[in-house]
Amino acid sequence: MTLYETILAAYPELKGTKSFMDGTITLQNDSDGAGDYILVWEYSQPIPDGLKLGK
Amino acid sequence: MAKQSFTTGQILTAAQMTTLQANDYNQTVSAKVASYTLVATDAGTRITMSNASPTTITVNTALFTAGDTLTITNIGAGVCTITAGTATVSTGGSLALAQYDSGTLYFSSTSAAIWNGANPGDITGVTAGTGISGGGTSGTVTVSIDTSVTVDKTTAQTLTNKTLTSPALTTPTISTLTTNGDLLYGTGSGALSRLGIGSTSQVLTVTGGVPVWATASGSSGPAFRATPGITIQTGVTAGVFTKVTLGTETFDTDSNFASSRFTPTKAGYYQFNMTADMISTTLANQYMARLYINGAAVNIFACYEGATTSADGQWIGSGSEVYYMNGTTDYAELYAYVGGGTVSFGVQSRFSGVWIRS
Repeated sequence: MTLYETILAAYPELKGTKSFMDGTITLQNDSDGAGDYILVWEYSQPIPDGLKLGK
Repeated sequence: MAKQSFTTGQILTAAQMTTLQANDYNQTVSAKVASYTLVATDAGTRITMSNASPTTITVNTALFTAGDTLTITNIGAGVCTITAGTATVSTGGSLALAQYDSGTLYFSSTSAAIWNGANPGDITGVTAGTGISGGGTSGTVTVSIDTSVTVDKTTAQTLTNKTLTSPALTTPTISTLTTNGDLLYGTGSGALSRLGIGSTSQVLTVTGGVPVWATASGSSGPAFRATPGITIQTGVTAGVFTKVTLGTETFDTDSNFASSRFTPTKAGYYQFNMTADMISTTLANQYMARLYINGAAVNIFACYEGATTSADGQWIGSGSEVYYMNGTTDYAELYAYVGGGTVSFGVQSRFSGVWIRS
């Protein structure tokens, strides 16, 4: 399961919204082998368990 | 007695002979006290000049005949100068008579006279003054320039604290200038300072009130263009802003592009042009491309947001932006985002940039 899918699983209400492109939640991948990570988390709910901000 | 003109048959009297004899042994004297112009009756006589101030005795033509002589004696303190009027007066010495000096004026023609002036006297000694060495009081003496004091034309010498007014220099050598292309500039205190030659393509500018060589701001700077080549970037996660991998450089003028990142080495404003080729194997409703500066998004320059049921599986977004880069640490990258499905970035992606001004 990808980072994106993990977050949608935790917060299904985000599916189909602009939250991942309007700066509420920004997931990023620098194509440097480090994989996806949470760059910005401005959502009203906390970061799901097991995830963290940044690489 | 002035010069007489005798005629054929004339009887020479005893009185005349006595007078003529007297002229040889007791010369007729014509005393003058002011500047005087010779007349014909002065031939054969002695002219005396007595004046405390300078005077002249002027010699004109057509008054005397060839062979005439007369003597001039200066008894005054003022110098008496024999002066050519309309006649020519030649001499091997001086035409000036100091007090008590005498000379003879001999006419070689009616218009030319030769002046035999007073004997200037023997030189009894030569004393070398400042800047000259040598001299002596007997025999042949030699004087030379003392080069420890006086500058001559042929000896290499060092001048210190000398003022040259309007000097004309021919191929001067200045020891301060050590390198081909060095320049001199004034320091404002009358001294000169060396400015060493700059590097190729540098220009002369002013920093801190003095001229310096600097890299020209110029009209050109780094430029690059990169593409994915023929490689599709797979494994992109939906919902994630992912850096577009651009592994093929069309050009990179200053080798500033590496690892899909442009880090210009020249500060200034840059024009960036971007195209992101975004593919989703399933329907996706959001596509977005972004310019990232220093790892942070600075602009959404291409975005498509469509209905879930109408979105295509591939979308190409293009845009451009002008951004200032510091020329050292600032870098630019291309990121893209697809909102759903299994995502990849196609081979139509493009990223280019060029320096446009400082």
